[in-house]
Amino acid sequence: MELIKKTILQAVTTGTTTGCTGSCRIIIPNSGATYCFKIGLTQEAIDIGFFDAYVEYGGYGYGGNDVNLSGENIIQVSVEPIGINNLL
Amino acid sequence: MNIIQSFYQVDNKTCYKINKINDNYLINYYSLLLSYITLKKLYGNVTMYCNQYAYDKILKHIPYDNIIINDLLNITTSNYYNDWALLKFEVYKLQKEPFIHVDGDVFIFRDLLSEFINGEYDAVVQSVETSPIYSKFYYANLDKLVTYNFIDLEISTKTADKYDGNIIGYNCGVVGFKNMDFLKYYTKKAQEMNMLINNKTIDSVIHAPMIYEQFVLHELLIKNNMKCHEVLPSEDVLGKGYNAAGNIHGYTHLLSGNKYVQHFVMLIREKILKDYPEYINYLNDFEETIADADIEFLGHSKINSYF
Repeated sequence: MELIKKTILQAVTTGTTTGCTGSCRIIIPNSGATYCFKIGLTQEAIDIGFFDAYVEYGGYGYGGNDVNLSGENIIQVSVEPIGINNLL
Repeated sequence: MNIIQSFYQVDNKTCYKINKINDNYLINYYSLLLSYITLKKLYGNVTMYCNQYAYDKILKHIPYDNIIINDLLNITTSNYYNDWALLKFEVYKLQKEPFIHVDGDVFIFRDLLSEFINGEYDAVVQSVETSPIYSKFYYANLDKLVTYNFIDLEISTKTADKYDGNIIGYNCGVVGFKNMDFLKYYTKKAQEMNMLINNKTIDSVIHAPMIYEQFVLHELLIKNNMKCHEVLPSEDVLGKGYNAAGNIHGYTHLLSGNKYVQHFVMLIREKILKDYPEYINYLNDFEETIADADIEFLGHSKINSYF
């Protein structure tokens, strides 16, 4: 298991305050902010030839794709086919 | 010349590993049907060698010109992943005259076999195949390969120089023989190699079929100075890449688990419906039998790069 750490900036907003003349604003944390970030989960697999690298059932797709919403795990083949354009 | 294919189904086994049991082996039907169609169009007559289970589940829905059912006992579930390619050698042993064997996931859209059929060749293969698996295996077992007469060291080294020092094999998506004495010799040596792998005399084997089928064929052909035709020329395969070479020459070989990739299967299906509509009934009949099958198509990690 890997531990992933990332530092993100805290979302801020402006709030009002008293004790000043005119329109006063202060910078305050935005407690209602939604923090969104994308995690790419990849499994390093070495293509050893005919028995191509594959993700064990229960893993995730390659290449930083999001896990699809259903949580379905799809095995990905990585061996390049030959002459695939002939099927088009 | 006899055009032959083979397909033996052992339980629900497929060529890739998965931690569950399902009916994905049935998906082989689509590639097998298109493979047959393309061969039939060009060469007129296709013979299929199979076991009863493969016939009952899949092959009876393809109108092969000849079907030879042979239930083999030497490939079982426990040794399937290393030994499945040995089934082809059992089919070779049955051949009494020159033939060409085409894998069930190979589609030939142009006449690529007449050069071998009409020419002065001992054998035909799909193409050279480069993989670090061959070099790793070769150098780890060099002394044994000489001792057991799989290679001629001088010839082997000179040949590797042509491929930047890499040891290669011959991909057998298409493989055929006119020299039947050589075929007998090759079959014997391939089975010997498998035995040496199984009893651990020879090691550093990542993928046994690549070694006993493809590496052994290449080394024996060059060792015995046999004339071999390559369906996909090596200058195209090595210069432009395998996929591009296939595109140029009208040759498709899905390889490995690609025959279970949903996108590719759909393309095959559409190709049959569009270009070979006379086979629609066969497709419909088969699909009725798999309506309740537990099928889980695979994806491909680089699908977007192909289309």
